[in-house]
Amino acid sequence: MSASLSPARIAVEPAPDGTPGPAAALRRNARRLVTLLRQRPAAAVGLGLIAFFVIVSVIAPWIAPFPTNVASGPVYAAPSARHWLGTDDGGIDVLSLVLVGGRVSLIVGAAASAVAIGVGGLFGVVAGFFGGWVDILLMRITDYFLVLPDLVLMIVVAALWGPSLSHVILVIGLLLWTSTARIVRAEVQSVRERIYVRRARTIGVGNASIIVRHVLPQVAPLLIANAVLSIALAIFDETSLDFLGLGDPNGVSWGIILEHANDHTAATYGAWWTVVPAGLCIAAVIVGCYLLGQALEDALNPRLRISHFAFRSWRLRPLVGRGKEAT
Amino acid sequence: MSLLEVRGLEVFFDLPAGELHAVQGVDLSLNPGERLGIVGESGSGKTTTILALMGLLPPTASVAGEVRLSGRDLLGGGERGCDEWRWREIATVFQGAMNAFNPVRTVGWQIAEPVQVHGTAAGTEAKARTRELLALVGLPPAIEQAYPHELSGGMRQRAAIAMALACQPKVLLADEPTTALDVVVQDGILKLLTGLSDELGLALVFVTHDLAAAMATCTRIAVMYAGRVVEEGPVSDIRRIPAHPYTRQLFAATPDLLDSRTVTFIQGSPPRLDRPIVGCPFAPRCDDRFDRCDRELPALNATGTGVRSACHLSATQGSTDSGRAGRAIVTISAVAPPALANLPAAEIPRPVTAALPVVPGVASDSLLTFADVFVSFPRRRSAGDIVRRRPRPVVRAVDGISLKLAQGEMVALVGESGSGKSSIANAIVGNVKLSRGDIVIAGFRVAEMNRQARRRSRRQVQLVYQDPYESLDPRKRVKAIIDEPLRANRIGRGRVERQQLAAAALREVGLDPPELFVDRFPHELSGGQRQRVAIAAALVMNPMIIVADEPVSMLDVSIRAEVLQVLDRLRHNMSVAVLMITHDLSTAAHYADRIAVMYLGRIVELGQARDVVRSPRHPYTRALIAAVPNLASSEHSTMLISGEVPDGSAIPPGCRFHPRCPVALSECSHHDPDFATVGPGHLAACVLAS
Repeated sequence: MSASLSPARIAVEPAPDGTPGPAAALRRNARRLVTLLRQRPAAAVGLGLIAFFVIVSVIAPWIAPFPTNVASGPVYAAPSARHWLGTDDGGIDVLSLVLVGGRVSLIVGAAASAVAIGVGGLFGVVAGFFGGWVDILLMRITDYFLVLPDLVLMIVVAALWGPSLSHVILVIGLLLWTSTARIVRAEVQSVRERIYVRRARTIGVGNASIIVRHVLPQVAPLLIANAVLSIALAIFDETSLDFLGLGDPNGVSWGIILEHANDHTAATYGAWWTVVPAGLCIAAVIVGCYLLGQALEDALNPRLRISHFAFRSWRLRPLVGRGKEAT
Repeated sequence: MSLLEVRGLEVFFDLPAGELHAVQGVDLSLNPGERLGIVGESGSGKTTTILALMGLLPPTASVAGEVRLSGRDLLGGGERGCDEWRWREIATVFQGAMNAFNPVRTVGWQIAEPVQVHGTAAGTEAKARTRELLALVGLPPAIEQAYPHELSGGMRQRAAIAMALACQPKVLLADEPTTALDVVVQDGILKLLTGLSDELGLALVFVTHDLAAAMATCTRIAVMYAGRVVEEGPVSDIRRIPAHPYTRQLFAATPDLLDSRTVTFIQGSPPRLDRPIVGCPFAPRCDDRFDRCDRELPALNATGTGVRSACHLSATQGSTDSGRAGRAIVTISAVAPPALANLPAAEIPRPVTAALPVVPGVASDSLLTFADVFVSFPRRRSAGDIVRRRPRPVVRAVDGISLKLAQGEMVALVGESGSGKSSIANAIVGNVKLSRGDIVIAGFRVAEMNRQARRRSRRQVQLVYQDPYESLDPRKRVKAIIDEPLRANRIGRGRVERQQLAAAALREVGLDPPELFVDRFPHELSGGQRQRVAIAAALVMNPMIIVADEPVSMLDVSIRAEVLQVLDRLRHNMSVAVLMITHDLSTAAHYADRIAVMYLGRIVELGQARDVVRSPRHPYTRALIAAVPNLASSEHSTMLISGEVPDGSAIPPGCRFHPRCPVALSECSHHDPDFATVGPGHLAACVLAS
C-alpha cells in the first residue's frame, strides 16, 4: 500500500497525552505494551513464562521444601508425596534443586545478554555511524569473533580462567555480541542517512549528541528485542558449559543438575526425574524468551511486516450494512 | 452502457485503531477512448479506488459495491475471479515506476511476462509483441535487453506503460504516473497516454494530485475528497465553472505560469476517515458553509452547467447562478488567509531592522554571492574503466555559477533533476566542498572558513529540506526540534530564553499560539504544519539567508501556498534572503523576484521572474515553459525538447544544451556561449539571444 494509507498522513491526531514528561512517556509505553500483548498472544505467553520463572527464582529460598546441600531422603527416590520430584544420587530433593537452580541460569542469562548488548551495541553504533576505516576495523574484529567455534572457545576460556560464575557470564557475553553488533550497525547505517540526522549535522549538532538524541532512540527497540533473544541463547550456552563441568562448581544450576545426573549414571537407575524437570525448565524459559523476543521484533521492526504474503485476501461485504449507515 | 461502471464502491480498512472508511460510495463510468482524471489530496481515496478496481487491496481491506466491465461483475468473484480479467481487461501503471520492475530481469523479459502468463502469445510471438509494445510507447528496441537500473525515470515509466498494455486491455489505470518526474519528461508521458488512448480507443483513468496535469490530459475530471467524488464532469465545463467549493479552492491553490493572481491555500485538513462524518465532509474548510452543510450530506447531483457536484449550494442554485462559480475564484483568492494576516511582527532581535528596497542584480548589498563556483564529485572507476585505463570519471555537478542575492530577495533556482540545484544548496551550508570559486555569505568566505567561522556562518544560512515527513525526527516533540539548533550553537541563556526564542519562531511561521504546538510530535501535525515547524527550526537561528530545497514538492497542492506564503512573508518582514530550489516553474514565477534557470551545472538564463516566464530567451527555458501543464486551456503545446539531462560526467562540448536544442546552429557544438544581456537584469547564455 502506498503511503496514503498510513494513518499518520491521513489525519491530524490530537496530542495523545496533553501533559508531556516522563510520567506520560511511561504511560504511553505501558499502553503500547498492553496493545502488543493483546495483538500477539505469543508475546503474552512468552512474557508469562519469563515472569513465572523470575518470580519463582526470587522466592526460591523460601519456597524450596528442603535444603539443596543436605540429603533429605534416600538415593534416587522416585517422586512421592514427600519429594514431589524425587531425589538425586545424593538423596537431595530435586524440586528444591530445580527451584534454586533457576536463579543461576537466569542471572547468567540476563548478565551475559547485558554484556552482549553493551559490547555489540557499542561496536554496532560506532561502526555504523562513523563508517570508513573505523567501520572496517571494528567489523573485522566482529568477524573474527563470529567465526570462532563457540563451544571450543568456551571450553578453552573456562579451562584457562578456571570455572566461576563471572567467567561464565563474560565468556558467553563475548560470544553473543557479534550478531547484535552486525544488526545494530545495519540499522545505524540507515538511520545515519535519514534527513533529520543530516539536518542536525547541518545545524551544527555534534556527533555524540546526534548519536544520543537521534540514533539511539531509533535503534533502542532493536536492542531490546535482541536482548530478550540473547537471554535465551545465553541460558542455552550456560547449560552446555555446566553440562561439560565448566560452570561454577559450588553453585546449583539447571545445567549442573543435568551434568550431575549424567555423571552419576541416573539413566541406568531409571531416575528420569533427575533429568526431565530441569530440562523442561530450560526449554520453557528459552521458548518464553523467543516468543517475547520475536513478538517484540515483529512489532518494533516495520520491515518484518509481510502482510502481502498472507494467504487471506480482501473481503467482499454486502452493500447493506455499515457502509450504508454512513450515508 | 458504458465500458466501465462503478456503483457505490466502498472500501474499508481494518486498522489496529479501528476501521478506516477510505472510499465512501464512489460512482464512476467510463467509455472507450475516454480519459477520466481523478484528482484529490493524499488520503482522499484515489489510489484505494484504483486498487479496488484492480482487486489488489491488502488483506485488511473489505469492499462493497459494484464494478462492471462491459456488463460483467468484477468484484463478485473475489480474489480468485480477478485472474480472468486482471491485466487482460484492466491494467495499471503503478505509482513509482522505480519499484514496478524486478532489478535482476531484463525489461524485455518483464514486458513479455504478462503476455506469457495470460497465454496470449508465446516464444517468438511474445518477443515480437514486446518489440511492438516498446515501439508503441516510444522506446527503441534495444531497451529489451536492458536492465531496469540502466533506464532513466522517464524510460522506466514508458516501459511500465508498455507492460500494462501487454495484454491489450480495454481500460488503463495510471496512478500518479508522473509524480516523481521532471516537467519535460512528465509532458512526454502525458502526451504518450493521451495519444495511446486516442489511437487504441483505450479508456484511461488518470489519478493525480495535480489539477493542471489532469486538465491537460483528460476529457473528464472527478474530484475526490474524503473518500467521495465531490465533483465530476467534462474538463471544459469544470474549467469554465467549477461547481463545488473544494474544486474552486483547488483551482485557487494551483499556481498558473502566466497568471499572476494570488495563490491561496485551503485552511484546515481533511477529516479523519476512521470516524463517521456527519454532514458535508468539506464543510469545516468551506467558505460558503451554511447550517444545512453541518447536518446533511449533499448528494452528487447535476448542476445544470454540465457537471455533477456534491454541494447543497450548487444543487439549489444550479443553472441560475452560472456566473457565480467562475467569479468565486477571484473572490477566494482576494481574501488573505486570516492565520497569516494577523500575525505579530518580528519579535526576534535582528541586526537588520527593516526591509530594504531591493534592486535585483545590484551587487552592492549582496548577502550571498556565488563567485564562479564549481563543485565536482569523483566517481568510482568501474571495472571497465580500469581495464581500458580510463581516468576516474568526475561528475561536474556545479560548473561555474555566479549569482548574487540581496537582502529580502527571493531567487528561484529552476531546473530538471541532474541540473546541480541540490549541490548548490549543499555547498552553501558546507556539506560539500567547492572545487573552485567561492561562496561569500554575509562577508564570510566559505572556501577559507575554519571551524569557528563555519559555526558562525551556520547561523547565517539555514537549510529547509524537501520532505517534512523525513526531515523532522519522528521521536522528538516540536519544542525539542526547535531547541536543538539553539543548544548546538549555544544560543540563548538558559532554558527559558531558548523557549521564548522557539515560541517567537513558531509565531513567526504562523503556528500561533505556540503552546498549542510545542508538545506535539511531528506525526500529529499536518504536512503544511510540519514544514512550517521545519522553517521555524531554521528561523530560530536568526539567519540572514534561508535555502529552501524543494520546500513544497512533497506537500499537497492545497497547502503548498501555506508554506510558500510563510517564506514570502519572512523575506518581506525580516529581510531574509531566500534561495528557493525548485523544479516547478509556476511556483517560482509566483513567489520569486528572480529566476535562475539551470542546466547541467550552469545557469543558462537569469532575470526577473516575470521577464523569464513571459519572454524567455534561452531555448531551454522556452522548452520548460512549454512543458508546464496549463490550467487555463487544453491546447496542447508542441514538445520542444526530448530526452533527459545528460550525466554530469559527460558534459557535451560547446553549448551544453546543443544536443537537445531545437534551434541549435552548427557553431553551437564547439562554441560555449557567454551571457548576453537581453533586457534589464535579464541574461541568457545562448548565441541566438545576443
